[in-house]
Amino acid sequence: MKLGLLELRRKPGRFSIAGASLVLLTVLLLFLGGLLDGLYLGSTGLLRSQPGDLVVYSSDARDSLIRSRIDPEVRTLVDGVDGVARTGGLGVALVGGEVEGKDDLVNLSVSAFELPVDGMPAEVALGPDEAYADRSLEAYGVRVGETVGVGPERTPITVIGWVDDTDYLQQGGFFVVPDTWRAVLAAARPDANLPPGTFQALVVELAEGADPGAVAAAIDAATDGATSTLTRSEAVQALPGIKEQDSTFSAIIYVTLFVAGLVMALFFALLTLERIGLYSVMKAIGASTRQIFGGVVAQAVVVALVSFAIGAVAMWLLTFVLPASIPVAVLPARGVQIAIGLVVMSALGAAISLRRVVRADPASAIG
Amino acid sequence: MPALQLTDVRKTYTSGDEEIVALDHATLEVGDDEIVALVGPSGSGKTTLLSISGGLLTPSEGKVVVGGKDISDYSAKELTAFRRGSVGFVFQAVNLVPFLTARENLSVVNDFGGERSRKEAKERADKLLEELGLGKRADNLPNQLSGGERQRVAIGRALMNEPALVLIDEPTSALDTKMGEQVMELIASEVKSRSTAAVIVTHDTRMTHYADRTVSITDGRLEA
Repeated sequence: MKLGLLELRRKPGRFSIAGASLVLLTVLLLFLGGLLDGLYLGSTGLLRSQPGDLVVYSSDARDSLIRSRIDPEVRTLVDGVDGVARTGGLGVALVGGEVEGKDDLVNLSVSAFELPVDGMPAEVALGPDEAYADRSLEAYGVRVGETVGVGPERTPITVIGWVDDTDYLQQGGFFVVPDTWRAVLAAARPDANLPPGTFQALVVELAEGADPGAVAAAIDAATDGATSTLTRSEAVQALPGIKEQDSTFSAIIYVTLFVAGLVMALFFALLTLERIGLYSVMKAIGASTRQIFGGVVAQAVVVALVSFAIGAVAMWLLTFVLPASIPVAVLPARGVQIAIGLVVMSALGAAISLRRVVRADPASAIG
Repeated sequence: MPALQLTDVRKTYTSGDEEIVALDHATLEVGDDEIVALVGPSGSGKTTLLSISGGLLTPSEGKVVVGGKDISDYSAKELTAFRRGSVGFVFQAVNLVPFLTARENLSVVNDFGGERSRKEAKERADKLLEELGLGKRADNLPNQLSGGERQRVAIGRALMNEPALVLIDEPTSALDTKMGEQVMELIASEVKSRSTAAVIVTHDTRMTHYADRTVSITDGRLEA
């Protein structure tokens, strides 16, 4: 292994083609992973930022926030279930917003809330014409203290603060009091007009020690099947397109990692072919196959790690020039996953050369 | 104890229906500080004899004892360990590792499983290089050395693990007469000073006087 790493240090140029290929593949993988995560975050922020453990939909809504309706009578039943500490109404209206000085409308997910989401103060005092906006809207010209004309009637709402990671279905989070939300919803979708007290969903905070699964079942039983109660993560997964997005992008990422393995397999096959004479000499003077092969795999791992590091820096720089409309979020966990995948596939690719290394004949070093 | 004992060693290969005899009932004994020159025409079996003596090939028949170890039936793994500790090679093509310095080309033998610590291996390598007149070239890569200097590094590598037997294949084939004589003198003095035995394969009969005796081989058969 030491010999392999020494060759890498002394003759890095030999590995430049493999390294450059892996750098490009790293950028591609991080971009794909970033798109997957960006799309996920940008679609699910509203639900993930909710303080409660459970989300209650009406059972005929097929777990869709927009189709769901929870009226005050049902809510009373939910409030009475053992294990429920408190509930908060939740609703959303997907509308455009007019920002001063901008020609294009900004996409908003105007959300009603009763329980403060992550980033809001514990006691929120919002006026009917005020809102907390998701910081993602800053890229579209929204500013704290400025007024946005919301919905078809361009209802003037002033942004009084930021929240983070609260977008819904790629539309910027825009949190208002319930009455304001109902008015915006009624203006945008007269058919979806909701009476006071009715929300699209309830967010449920559990009492200490309560089991989420048990309470969820109890809620649906208490409402006699009028509700479908999910955990927060189940509700996130049920959002339209999330599962399909995940499986599609994951498949592309795995295929790309496989390609990385093929690149390394080809590179090390050629390199081993070129060095078969040297391997024969090394075996003649006492190197074991394991030592030689260990050096080859060590080279592949180091090339993969260095290429990943360079590719990660390149991707980071790329994020500064990508437009805000491309939802890329480069997360450390995804980076680690890709790094591990790249290292494993590179090592496996290099391992293809094992047969050739085994067959290097020390006797050929003589004569 | 002789450094090398070949007893009735035979090496055959099969080519289609034909059996090719590369070495035919070879019997040879080399004393523990003896230098033997092995001469013969191309294809006479010199390389086969050298390879069998060094554990690079296994004989089809016969017994091979090197430094008291009977290696006739050693497995590939056992032969690798044997080569590491008991035999040194100087190849015709020198075959230094191109990305290692002169010092590292010697100490790498210890890295493969020698008994010295890294520090001790470095010190031994430096000492050998000094003795070989390469003290100031220890940090040079092979492409920064002349042909003769590379040959001397190869000699140092062969002596690194203090083997019982050094096997040298055509050491002067790529060198001019003067350089060839220098290398042969060096081999003889280094081998003798360490009481190590050596078998030197050479076409060049001008160099055989550096050996204690000359053995001829023709068509796989040793002549006295």
